[in-house]
Amino acid sequence: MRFINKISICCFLLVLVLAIGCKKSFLTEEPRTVTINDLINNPTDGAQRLIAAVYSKLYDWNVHTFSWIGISSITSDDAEKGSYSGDTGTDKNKLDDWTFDPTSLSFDEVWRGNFEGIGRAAYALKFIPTINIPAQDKDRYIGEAKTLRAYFYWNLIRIFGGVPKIDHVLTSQQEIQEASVRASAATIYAFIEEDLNDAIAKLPPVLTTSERGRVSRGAAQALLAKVSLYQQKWARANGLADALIGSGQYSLMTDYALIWREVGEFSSESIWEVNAIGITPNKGVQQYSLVQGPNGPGGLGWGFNSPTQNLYDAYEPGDKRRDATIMKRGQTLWDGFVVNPGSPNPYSNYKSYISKTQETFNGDDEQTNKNYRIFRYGEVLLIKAEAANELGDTTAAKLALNQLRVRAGLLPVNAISQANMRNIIYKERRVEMAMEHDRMFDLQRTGRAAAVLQALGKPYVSPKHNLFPIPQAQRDLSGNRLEQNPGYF
Amino acid sequence: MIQFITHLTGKCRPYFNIKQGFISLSFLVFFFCQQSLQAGRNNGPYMFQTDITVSGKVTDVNGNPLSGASVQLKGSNTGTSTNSSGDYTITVPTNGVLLFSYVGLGNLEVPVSGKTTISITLSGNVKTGEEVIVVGYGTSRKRDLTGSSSSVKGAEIANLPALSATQAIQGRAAGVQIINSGAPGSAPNVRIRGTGSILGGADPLYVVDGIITQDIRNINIADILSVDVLKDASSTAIYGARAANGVILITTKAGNRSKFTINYNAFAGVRMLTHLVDMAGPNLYAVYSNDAANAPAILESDITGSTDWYKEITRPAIFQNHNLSLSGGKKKYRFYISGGYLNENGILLDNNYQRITARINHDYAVTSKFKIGNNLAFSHYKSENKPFSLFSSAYNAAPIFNAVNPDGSYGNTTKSNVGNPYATLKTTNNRSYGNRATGSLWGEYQIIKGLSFRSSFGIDAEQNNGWNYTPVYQTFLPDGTTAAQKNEKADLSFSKDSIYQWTWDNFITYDRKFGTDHSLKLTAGHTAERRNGWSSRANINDGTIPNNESAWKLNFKDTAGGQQNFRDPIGDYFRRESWFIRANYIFQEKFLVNATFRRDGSSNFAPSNKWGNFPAVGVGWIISKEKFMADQKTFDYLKLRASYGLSGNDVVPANQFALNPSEHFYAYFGTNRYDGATVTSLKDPKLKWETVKEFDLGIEFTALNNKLTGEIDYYHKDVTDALYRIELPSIGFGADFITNAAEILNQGVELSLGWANRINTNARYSIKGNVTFNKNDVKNVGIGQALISGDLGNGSSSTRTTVGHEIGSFYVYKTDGIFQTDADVAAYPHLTGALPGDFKILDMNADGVIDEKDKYFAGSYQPKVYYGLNTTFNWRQWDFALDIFGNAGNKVYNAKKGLRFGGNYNIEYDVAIRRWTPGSGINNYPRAYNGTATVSDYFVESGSYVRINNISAGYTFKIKNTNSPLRSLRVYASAQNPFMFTNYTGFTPELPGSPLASGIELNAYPISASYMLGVNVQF
Repeated sequence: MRFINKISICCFLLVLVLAIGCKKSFLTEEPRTVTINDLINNPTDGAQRLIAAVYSKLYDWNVHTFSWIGISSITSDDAEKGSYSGDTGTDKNKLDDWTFDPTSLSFDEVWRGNFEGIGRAAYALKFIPTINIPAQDKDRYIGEAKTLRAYFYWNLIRIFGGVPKIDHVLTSQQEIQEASVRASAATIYAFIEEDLNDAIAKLPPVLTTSERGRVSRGAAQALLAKVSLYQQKWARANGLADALIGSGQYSLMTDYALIWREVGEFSSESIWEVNAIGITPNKGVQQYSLVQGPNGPGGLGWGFNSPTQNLYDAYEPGDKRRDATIMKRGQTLWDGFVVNPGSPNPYSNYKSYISKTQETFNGDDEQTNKNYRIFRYGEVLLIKAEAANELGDTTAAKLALNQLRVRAGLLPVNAISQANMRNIIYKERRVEMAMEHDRMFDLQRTGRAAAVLQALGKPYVSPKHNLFPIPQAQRDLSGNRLEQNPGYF
Repeated sequence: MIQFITHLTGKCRPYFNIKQGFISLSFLVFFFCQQSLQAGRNNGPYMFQTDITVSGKVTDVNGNPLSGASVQLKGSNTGTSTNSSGDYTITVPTNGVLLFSYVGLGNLEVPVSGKTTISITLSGNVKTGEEVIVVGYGTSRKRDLTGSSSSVKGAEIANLPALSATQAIQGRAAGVQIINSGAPGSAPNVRIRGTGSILGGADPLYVVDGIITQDIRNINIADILSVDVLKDASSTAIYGARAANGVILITTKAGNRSKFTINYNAFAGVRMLTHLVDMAGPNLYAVYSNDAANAPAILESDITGSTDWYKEITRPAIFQNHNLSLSGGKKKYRFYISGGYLNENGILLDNNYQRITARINHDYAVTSKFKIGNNLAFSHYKSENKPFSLFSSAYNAAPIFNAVNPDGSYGNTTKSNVGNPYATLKTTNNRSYGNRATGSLWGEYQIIKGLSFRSSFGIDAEQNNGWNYTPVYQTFLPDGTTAAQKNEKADLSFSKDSIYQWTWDNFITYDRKFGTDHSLKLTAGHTAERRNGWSSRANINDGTIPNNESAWKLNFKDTAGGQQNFRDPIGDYFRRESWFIRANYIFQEKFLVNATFRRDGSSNFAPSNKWGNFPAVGVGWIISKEKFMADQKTFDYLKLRASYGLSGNDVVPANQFALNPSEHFYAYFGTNRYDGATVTSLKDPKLKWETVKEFDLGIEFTALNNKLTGEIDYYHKDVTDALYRIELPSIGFGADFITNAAEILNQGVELSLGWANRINTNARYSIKGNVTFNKNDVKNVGIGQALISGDLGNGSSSTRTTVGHEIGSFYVYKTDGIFQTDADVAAYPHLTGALPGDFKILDMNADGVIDEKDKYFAGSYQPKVYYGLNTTFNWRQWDFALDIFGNAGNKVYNAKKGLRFGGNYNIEYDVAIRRWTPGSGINNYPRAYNGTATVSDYFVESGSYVRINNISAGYTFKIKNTNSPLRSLRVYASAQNPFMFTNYTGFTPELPGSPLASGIELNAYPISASYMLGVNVQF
């Protein structure tokens, strides 16, 4: 009996021990998240998800919000820091005062944000060609990824000059370290051109309603036209502007003020917008309206990027664009909202205003329905005017420019000399594009930054300040292989 | 439970599809079974010894009864203690040996030999090293060990108002640094022999009754019999995986076979803030802010109240704890059943933590050779959470308006963007609650004499739930308009985490003496574990959720699109599998050899690197056994030991070696939302075990007639292939990734000394002290880049971890006085924008420019020395205890002081009145300033402190009526943390944090003292 007992107990123990071993690869954990193969082997939406991830960067804080607003706008003569005097916005006071240095956080943020976009584009370009989808869909995705990559590079090159050229996916620390060296500005410009030329060939000219927010051929053309201005490639800028004008797809909205309202989304003037949606599940350009909303009682926002008196005064009498661009404290806005008279700043950016009563709003201040306008037809006319003028065709320049002036309620210009016309275009560009993240780069591009800012008492030093500093954090991480721009330490 | 079983069996195929390894173990088991059958036939049935109940009295040489003397079955955990009359009762095997011991009177061994009454007198004649230590897959006499370990008895910590055992053992074990936060429900940081890991996994491994676990907050301290800390490789290698940071073994109580006992222990008390920082009042605040802005930022008309925000958000906090246990047994079984209730208010208003625990420990001898048992614990907790960031909000908030206006509404101001912390506190409805069931079922079979097989199946099933509800609310400006701090639409989020873990240990133990000279103990086995779980979250923010918990359902409004639901795996799911073997060989009770080998596999590593091997060897020499020691009188016991070995750490999130996409990068095309997915980070496909190479040299002794006990250890603990996040330049492929590249060396000396003596028959005392000197040194950080960490909440980082410095060293500018005039500024190198009143920053490299290169290493939070002192004094029925803990040589970064960027934060009173102003000649603090504070040594302060952890006094009543059911009654009063001696100017220098960012005070829970009364009753 005892013998049987022992046998049975031994057998029981044996089974016990064996039971664990029942699975051949006990130590293998299946990944709980989506895998690369899940995307590549998914013709339904694998490519869509890869490209959506690139687009998603356009909504991010570090691409289009606080640091970007600081660098592209607060630095310029159009806007000042805003908010309360003691509220520095981390380093926005330094951007306003031109006392920033390479450790100022804003530079690191936009560096990271735009490179994240470039990395996501590299992944999309690596994997989408391997997905089993129709060739024309594939081409379109590739065109989109390249346009977006060009846009991120375009932001970087304007801020920093030459940056590392990333044209493929990097998968090891060594590759990343090796790639962390600055390419020349010319190399990056060539890369942007290459991407955009390919995109123009691949992208569709027209978007359907359900495709709003994606880039079209027009978006790539507009971007390349603007890039051409910065390279002073006037003929190409002129040609691309002509193509856009001649496409017949775009026209000016009658009412300038409506461009930035919900009713102006994807209007006839729109070429490229970040498609923010204020209905739950909402997705907005992260805190874009909040950061710029007037501060103080009533609590619309943080009050940063406040338009200057200098900008206010830059408008000609009767220019409708002034009051569409600048809201004042105490003013009753188009939707009936009254900006509290006690706001610390006299002016705020009207173009970033989202109505909580008359426009789509689900209560989330941080991700609102406000679309970020990247390109609109109005700017194409400005490009046309400038390129034509530089090519000696002042008549064509006047024709383009006067469309904008007339819409603004102003008289057409009658400038005669090319130089005279150039200054008029610069001025027109300022007021037409005010608070649209163009001014600072435009001043630097045209060599006017030092004169304009020094006149306002800013310690702008040329040529040092014609580029912003490479973020110190990135230089440290690269082991100082990323060279600093001249004049910065 | 069903789900759990499915986890276990779900994917099992028939048993034939097996790994070679399992076959070998099963053959091993089978082999021993055969052996046992053989033995059975040859020797006749082996009789299991029977148990008898022994009782008696323990007295001292003068015949006085000794209450609280320990009575233990030698070589086991079975034990009891004498009552106030010196009487005891214990059930032990007839052939067992009883070990009596008493503080200051040493110990005495008495063989039971069938006697039912054993009364003894303790005179100070003693044998030492008989103390039983839990060592992992078994127990051992301390004298037989070749490794370093510390042991804390449950009785020492049972009456402390701590949530977990680790909080309570602060200062009680050499080499163990405990960093407590004062927050209710929080777990402390535990560092054994310095900080050796960079990623989150620097905490030790916890093993409760043999079951590996991650968190011991569910274990009621009142249920704990002992806490054993294994420190060196010789001790920890048996837990090769994750033993790199040491092992803490917790053994819970078992019943006593002889008598049925009811214990009731309770205490209640109040906790009060002891150390606050004085803040500026309204007028001083206004003056400072105006000076900082260089403009009239705050006018007299802006001051509508005067609020001390700390007063508004804190309170004296009441706590209470009740424990009831029933234990007992008969010959064949023992049980211990307990229930506990803890209710602890936080210092922060409305912050509360409650816990209910229940435990059933039971074992039963089915036959003379087959035992089964269980240790099962259940706990439930409920925590009303308030954000700890309120402490920094209260520090920063403008003192110029009322928390609550006379009309009952919340106040606010436009002058500062911190808002109203009281309104935040009152409108935070954040609860977490959950259940946890842990424990094991085990069976043990004695195959032949000396050889037994044990199988233990442990479970840990945990469910944590939480919600966060923000109601619609507003705060109001003095003019009656609504301020920015408000919530226009109510939002609600739920979370629910379900985590299951099982561990299955199967091992054999062979314990044999060969002749008189040789003794061998072998332990070999296999263990497998798996942790899995899911985390579900739901958010609803469509603004219509009522402020009524009973109306919250997960399907609430789910058709309106106002709900977002997620279900994700927990981050630390894993599978592990291990083989282990340990051999202890003792020659002539003098020479000890201990060899351990463990092979561990972990799912956390790449396929090619899943397995790691962790061998260790230790040797010991009990010198006091040598003939040449026979004549000396100083040492009663003296042992020299040394060990060297490897142990590992695999605490990284799951699947960190695979390049997988991340999801939820949303973008809208038209009105359709697309869930973007792409790869955003870099992974190391060769990720592998972190390996610790540790050498230990130790001496243990007792001397002067056993009055003095001591242990000295030198350790050299080198963490190689340390896992950490290498930061990368951000060029689109992630900002960092986890890899094996760092090396960290901790070396140090630990010293414990104990002295116990009697003054006379009525009075005795004991003093135990321990001190640890540790030197932390980073030997390698991969490709040579410093690891930057220590976020200061204002966009700056404060620490760098790099070769030749301590982990998480503060890397800051060195200040050199204050600029007095513009000419001063012009004459020195300075940061852009520097003005008179700013710090002069030393141009360390003398290149005429102040930049990153001028920063220096200003120390770290790693203490150079930490120590504890525990004293007891007994006089007649009275007992007194005093415990002290301290550390020295470390630094703290007072980060909240530098948080005054942005909108007009409040300022410390001292800073406001003693700051630099033009021509004032006051130079204590820089000028009034609103910008981001420059990271400088101005914020780096000494983290040294000495604290009275515990003072207590108790009185034990004499129970004269021997028929009374009441066996013992003790009442006591105690104070925890009543005094702290430190030069630190912030709230507390005790700041738990991650290895790279420890010692930064941002949202610290200020230190508090507890005063309490308690009672211990036994029936």
